[in-house]
Amino acid sequence: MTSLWNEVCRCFRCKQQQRPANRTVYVGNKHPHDEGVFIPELYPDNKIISSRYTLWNFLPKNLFEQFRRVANFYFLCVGIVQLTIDTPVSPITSILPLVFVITCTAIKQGYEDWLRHKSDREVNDREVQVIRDGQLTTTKSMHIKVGDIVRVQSNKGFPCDMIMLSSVDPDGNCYITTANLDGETNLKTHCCLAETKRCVHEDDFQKLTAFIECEQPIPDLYSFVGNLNIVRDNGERIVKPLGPENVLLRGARLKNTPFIYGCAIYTGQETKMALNSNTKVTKFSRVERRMNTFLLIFLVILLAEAVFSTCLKYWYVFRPIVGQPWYVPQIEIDAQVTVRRVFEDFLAYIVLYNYVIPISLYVTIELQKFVGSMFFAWDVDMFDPGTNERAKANTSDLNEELGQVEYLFTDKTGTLTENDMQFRMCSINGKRYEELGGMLCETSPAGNDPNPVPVLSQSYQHFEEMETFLTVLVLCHNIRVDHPQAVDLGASSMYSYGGYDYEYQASSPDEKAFVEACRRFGVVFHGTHDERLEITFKGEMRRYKLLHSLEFDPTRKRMSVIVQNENDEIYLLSKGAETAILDRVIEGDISSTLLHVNEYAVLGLRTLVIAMRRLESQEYTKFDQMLSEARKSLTQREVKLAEAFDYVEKNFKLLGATAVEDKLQDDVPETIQALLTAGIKVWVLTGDKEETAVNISHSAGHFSRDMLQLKITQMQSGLDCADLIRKHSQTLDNPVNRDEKFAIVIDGTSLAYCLIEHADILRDLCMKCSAVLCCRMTPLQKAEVVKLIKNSRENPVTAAIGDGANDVSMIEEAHVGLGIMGKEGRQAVRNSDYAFAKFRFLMKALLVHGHFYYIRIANLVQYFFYKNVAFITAQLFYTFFSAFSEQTLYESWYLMNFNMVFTAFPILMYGIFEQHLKPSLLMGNPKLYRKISRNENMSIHNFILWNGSGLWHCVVMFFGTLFLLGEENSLFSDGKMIGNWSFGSIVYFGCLVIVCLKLSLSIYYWSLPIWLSFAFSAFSYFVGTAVYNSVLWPDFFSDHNYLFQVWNTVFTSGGVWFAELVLIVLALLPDIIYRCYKDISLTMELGQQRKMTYDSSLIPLRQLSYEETKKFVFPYVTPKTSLQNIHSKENRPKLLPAKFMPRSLKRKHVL
Amino acid sequence: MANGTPGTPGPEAEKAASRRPKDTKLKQQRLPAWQPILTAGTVLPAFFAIGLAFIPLGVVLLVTSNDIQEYRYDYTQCVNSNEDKCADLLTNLTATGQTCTCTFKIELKEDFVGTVYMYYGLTNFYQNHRRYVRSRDDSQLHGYDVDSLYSDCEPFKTKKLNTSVEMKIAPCGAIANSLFNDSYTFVYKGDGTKNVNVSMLRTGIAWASDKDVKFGNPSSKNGSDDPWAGFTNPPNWNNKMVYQLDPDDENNNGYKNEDLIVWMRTAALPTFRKLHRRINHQQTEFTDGLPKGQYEVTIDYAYPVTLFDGTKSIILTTTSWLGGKNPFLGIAYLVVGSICILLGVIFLLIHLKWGRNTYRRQFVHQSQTRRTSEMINVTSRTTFN
Repeated sequence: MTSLWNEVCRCFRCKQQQRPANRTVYVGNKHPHDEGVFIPELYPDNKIISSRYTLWNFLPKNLFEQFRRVANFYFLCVGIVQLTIDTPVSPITSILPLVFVITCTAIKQGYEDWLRHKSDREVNDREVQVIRDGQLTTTKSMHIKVGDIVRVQSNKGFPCDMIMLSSVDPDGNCYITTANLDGETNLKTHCCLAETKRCVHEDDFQKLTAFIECEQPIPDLYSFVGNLNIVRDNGERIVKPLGPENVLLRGARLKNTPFIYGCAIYTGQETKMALNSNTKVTKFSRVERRMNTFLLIFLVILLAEAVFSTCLKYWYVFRPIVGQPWYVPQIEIDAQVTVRRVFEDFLAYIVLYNYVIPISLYVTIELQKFVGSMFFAWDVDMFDPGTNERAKANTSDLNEELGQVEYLFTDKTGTLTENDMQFRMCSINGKRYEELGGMLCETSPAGNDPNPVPVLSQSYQHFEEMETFLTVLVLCHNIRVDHPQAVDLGASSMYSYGGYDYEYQASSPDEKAFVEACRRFGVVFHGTHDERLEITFKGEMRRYKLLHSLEFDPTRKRMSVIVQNENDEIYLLSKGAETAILDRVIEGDISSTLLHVNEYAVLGLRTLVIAMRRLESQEYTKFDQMLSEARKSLTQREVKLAEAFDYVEKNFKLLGATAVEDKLQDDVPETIQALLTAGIKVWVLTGDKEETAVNISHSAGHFSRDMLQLKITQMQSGLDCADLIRKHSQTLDNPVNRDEKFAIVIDGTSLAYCLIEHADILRDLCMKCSAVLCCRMTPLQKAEVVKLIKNSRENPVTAAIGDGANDVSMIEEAHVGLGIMGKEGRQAVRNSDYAFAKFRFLMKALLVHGHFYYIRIANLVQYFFYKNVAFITAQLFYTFFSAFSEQTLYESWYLMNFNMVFTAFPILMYGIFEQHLKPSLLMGNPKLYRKISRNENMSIHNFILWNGSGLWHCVVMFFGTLFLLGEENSLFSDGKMIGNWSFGSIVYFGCLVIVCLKLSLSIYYWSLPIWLSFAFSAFSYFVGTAVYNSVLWPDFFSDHNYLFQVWNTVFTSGGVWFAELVLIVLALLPDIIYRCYKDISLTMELGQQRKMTYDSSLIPLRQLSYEETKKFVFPYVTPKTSLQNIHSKENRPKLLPAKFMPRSLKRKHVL
Repeated sequence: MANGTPGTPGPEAEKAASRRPKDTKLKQQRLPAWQPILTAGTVLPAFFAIGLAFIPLGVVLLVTSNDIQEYRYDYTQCVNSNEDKCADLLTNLTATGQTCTCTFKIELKEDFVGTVYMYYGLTNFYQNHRRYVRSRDDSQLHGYDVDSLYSDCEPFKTKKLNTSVEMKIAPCGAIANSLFNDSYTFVYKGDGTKNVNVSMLRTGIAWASDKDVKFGNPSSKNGSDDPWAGFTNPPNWNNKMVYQLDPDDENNNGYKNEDLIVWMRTAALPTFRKLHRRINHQQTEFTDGLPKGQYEVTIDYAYPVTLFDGTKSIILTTTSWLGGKNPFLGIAYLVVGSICILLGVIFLLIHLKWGRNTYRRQFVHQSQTRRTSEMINVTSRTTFN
């Protein structure tokens, strides 16, 4: 009853006024007594409906949706026309195929919807525990209402979005995994408010009267603004802020916590997960667009043919010389020209030539793509055992577009690189250190003699500053510690002496790298216990109370924590981008730190600057107040938070900088080289620093050494940009530089200026360059760059590849969006069209799968148009021999089955299984990819070639048969004659065989399914026709038995077989020659390519080692030990001899 | 508290089985397949083979066709005994009962050996006109007792005998209405001395399937009834009823009349001929065929063709195992065969000039990538699929 009411309300809601900005949710649906009339707000129930149809509306809705497709609607119109006019062919010839096509699609969509129903039902019927009337009752998930108190047990998913009220955990924490939501596999800690964390029994909630004020649901998964109002028995109200850490989202799963209680706030279609789904934009592939052009061309041809034939008909009727053919019934009506009659004649011709528009094209393509896209996920070569992820095709609409990519926009971090950070170097107070063999060593300034002395001992002169630096590194983060054995032993936490048993769960790989590096240096982070961060510094335990954690955000570009040490001193520890920190520094060696940061960046390392600040207690109190106010406010919370952060994050003391290496993924240079050879222009778009990005570009083979580098960076105005662009353009156009290759580097701010007014010249400049690197980009700018190229005059096909949420906009913008299943969550993957685990899989995805998909679909489309041209043009010819009377050449049986049965399967199998070249050859010769670029197989040139051959085949068959008959010669030794249906049968058989053989001349891969499909075609034609023409069908089935025994009789004639043979050979001669030409030229080309020496830019680059990089760009830093060996097993640091020493013996804390 | 500790993500979900795709031939797109490659070397023999097969075949076919004797005489403008053109007398279609008889002599220059067939040929006659083709009722022709005739038979479905009586037409439709109704008699004159009537057979001219299955006469409902009762003849039939088409032969009468059946199989093209009679070779003079010499042909000229600019002819012809005289097949085979030989020669030249040096040579291609470092031999024999 209620759900019905909700349903009604939901229907009316669209007419209602805007909803209030906030919603008030009464915990347990208990509203406070002091409020007057309580009008419950109406919320949707917790039913998830991802299905599109119900049993009742499936038929009308599905039909409606299908007939919205132009092609289907067109055929429906033709069918209706046939039913209404004096039709030349039976209406069944177009209605039956249409019904077939519609049924096929409906079955497919119905099946998909049934699956959705099934999963919906499974989700909606899942049992959940809800407190109703103070009792824990079990109900179905879909019956949860907003305000319900839900109990969720370990390893269960949350049935709706809810505010966490309490946990069995005494600290009020729970652990969740959001793998289903964003793919992050690390456990996250969510907590409840202290005020409600005692309510761990259903009775406890009886006493709780509270309501939650929160914003209406928004799709952003990571933001939430709300307040919890608790009404005490005495009427006193306590207001507590709620943030994202208090919210448990549907889609996430409870882990390692026996149970929690939560209050439902967003249900059903209003959950954040539901709001995040179905926002995908539909993209159309180049092939599909060209196909629609072809359809349009054929529609015009069809109309032209019909108009032409109609005109000829009336010309014929009114010819002056000849008298009336008295034998034709009602011949006089031909002479009565009325608009209606002319129009009917026109429509009759449309019906007759209608087959030139291939009806089964769409359904075949749908099947082909559906099956074809499975190969993508099935490919073992694109399976990554490391992450246990196979490739994924989120759509099958763009399969062929993978073979058409001209511009590739790639993210750097996590896409070209592993996003697996390793601590390499640091600069502490103006001194350079690097990690060697698990120990921090001083880098000798001379460069030739690295100082391998472990510096982490108290005797070392700079020990104090180093201790501070490392303590900041080990404290300033949001990492959680897991001890794998703790679970087995049932302990809530366990200490590990050296820390090597710990698994650090971090959302930021940099932080993880820091903490792990510190662990190697003997500074171990043990986790949070009793709201205190515990570390052991060389065996000495230190505890810090974590007061606040100021999370990272991309505008601030820094992250801080506020801690209180055991001496009750309060410190702000901060790390961030050098731009975000250095101008807030008041103390420390800024100049040399900045120098070091730049040196590190040149080496391709990621740098962060470390700073700290001591807070006086009144300062802290003020900040604490600001922060809690900001966190409580429902409006402009972000702004207020920023203000608070800004207040405290200043007057830093600079401690130093860190350099973290992000290793290149495997085979990145090879992959990029192959893509370049394949004619794909690769652009790297990154948010990283210019120096880091340039270095990665070099080592990834994106930039090669012989390229001249142009820069458009650090521009201050659009005018400067324009000048520079023009200057660069002149350099490029200068004939002196004709043989040079150019690389261009653009940074985000300059790009912003350029895009405002000078987008065109920038585009022209970039498109002339061999390599483009854009650094310091915001996510939106990435999308703008893609758009810039996408909308250029040549209209190239663009692909964007990335792994993080910051790549989503460019992935959505590009023609093909590619996601890397990386460490930065699932957002890129979810929004991509195709996804795989490693960058190197791109090579197979584009060069092999893309190439195959493209060849298959392009030839499939061309073949479809071709075969109908070859088939139906004879009808046009026949019009001239039948007094323009709209007489059909082929009997209905033939018309009906040509596309639906006789020629249906070979082309479908071709579309699924064809491999015109060996995959290994495609991988080894990326140049082959250029052969299909710019939609080559569907170019107008090829279109004419295909359909020209169709025309030729039809001409040969029709006129060949015409000559065979001569003046209607007898074809039998007993002198008997054949009639018009026999004539049609002869032409038809020839056309059918030619059409099949033409396809077989396109096939390079004769696998079993292909053979079977041809066998089926032959079987269905011979057996089907033999049966059909042997039966005298009753009246209701067909009006005339035109074909009765015709086929059986006419094919007993030897002359017919002889004619078919010679005509088929004649018709296919050009095709055989063309295939030979293609095969021979390709063989020769592949042979010659072998002998050809590669020009220097095509030599595959290998990743430069660090020594080489250093020698190349930074000659005075040359450590002997290769940095890459540091993490090999042998170099694991021995445990330093450290003990938990009594505090009194220790030096005074630096913090 | 088994799970009470924050530890590694729970083992049950994350330690899921490997999602590694199955390494099957189908899924990895490595189905065994024949991968043919057409190079000059491989198509050469095929072209020569086709050429060498087609040219002799063409010669045989051409000779076969040329051996057939055929005689054709256009009698459209023939005159009757009053030297009036019969065609002019037939300008009015409704002039029923008007007969016009043409008599003329034809001369066969040589003996027609074997079975001789007699055709009539019409030109500019569109039996394939849409409204004409479908103007028939197959059920009626099959002999079913039809209550209502097929509407496409209009306007030859029913006929008003007078103001009140309207009868169904048997057989209905325009095709039957326009049944060809000239009749011929041939008299063999030899060199002028003989005068032998050439007897001709009216049967064996229609398709067996038509004669046996598709066409059938209605059977009387209870023995005594006349199955033809209630039907009248098509308007153009000069008062002849369908059961009067061949009163001498019960099996060639009514719908099963072969002249009717032949006519009902509508021709594909506006210029056509239809088998009309077989020469009766039982006659002593004609056992080996038709001897050369003069024949006197008498025609009951009844079918008007000049109205639509058509012509009528009689054709006498023998047949071969391939049917009638038509050099097309032979020529086609010769031409296609020659083209193939020519192409073969061209490909041979290509093969000799370039083939050996470039693509015949075996070479090893080391693929650039580590992942596909298998060796690939590309030769003219292997495929590069």
